[in-house]
Amino acid sequence: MQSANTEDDKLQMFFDGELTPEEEAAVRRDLESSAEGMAQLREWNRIRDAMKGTSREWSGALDSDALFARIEADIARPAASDAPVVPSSHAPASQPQPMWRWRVGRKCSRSTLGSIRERSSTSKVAQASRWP
Amino acid sequence: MLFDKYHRRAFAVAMGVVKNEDDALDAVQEAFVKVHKNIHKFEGSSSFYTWLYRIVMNVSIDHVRRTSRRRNLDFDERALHQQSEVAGDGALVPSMTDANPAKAALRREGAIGAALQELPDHHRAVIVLREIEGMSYEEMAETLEVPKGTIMSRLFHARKKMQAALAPYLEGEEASED
Repeated sequence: MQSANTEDDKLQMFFDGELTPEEEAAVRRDLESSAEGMAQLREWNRIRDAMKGTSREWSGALDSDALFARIEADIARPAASDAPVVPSSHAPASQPQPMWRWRVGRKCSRSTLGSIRERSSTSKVAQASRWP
Repeated sequence: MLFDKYHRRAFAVAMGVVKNEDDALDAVQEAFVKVHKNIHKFEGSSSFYTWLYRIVMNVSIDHVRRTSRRRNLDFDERALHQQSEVAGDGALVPSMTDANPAKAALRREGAIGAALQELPDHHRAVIVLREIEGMSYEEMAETLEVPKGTIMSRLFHARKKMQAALAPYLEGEEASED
């Protein structure tokens, strides 16, 4: 646990659940006679609730399948910078597989990406959630 | 499995840092591609969770910087163009100040997003990881690679700034609660 140096630190750590049970009990006692501290906690809590609510709206509108398809396509796309640089005069008759294919080729990328996604989640219609 | 477990949360974190859905999608895409390409480099000295969020956060912040550089360039070009068109008559000045875009953006629906955009990158990062992702100080310190004391200080200042930016709404809520 980080030690709290000031009252502000202590209050913030209390709010974030970062105090030991003993420290927490002490802050709780102090708060009984501190209208200012209670008001601060209420405001932080409103901001937290508002941010959580907003983030739920953001992620609720996400089209998971479309995002997964974008990632998969990006991984499958040959990266020019990864390709071996061979002067044209020295290029062999049969081109070797580019380096990226050896490392993260289509087949490999599918199976590896499969490990970062076992199943397709339910598709949702993406809703525009731009900020003004 | 990893995609299913983390993509929505990564997207919410990216949305908290970048300005709109398209940029957040780009950032999450780039982050997962990086994870895919570098997973063999992940040594397990940190948790996968904080490693992933470090990538999401860095990519998102880079995205914001790239976008704002581009917008600044666009703005400079536009301003030069307009200056040559209205040189001397001053008509452009009132139209820019009357709009007061910052105030207009702070209307109820977009207040959180607008307030977040006013924060510096390092403040936005901590408050997003704490309030949206629910990370502990320890996890944030690991993710952002800064000491825990720095996290606490940044979080405190970020909250103060959010309070100030959202004051009209917070006061409104208080009044309606009483």
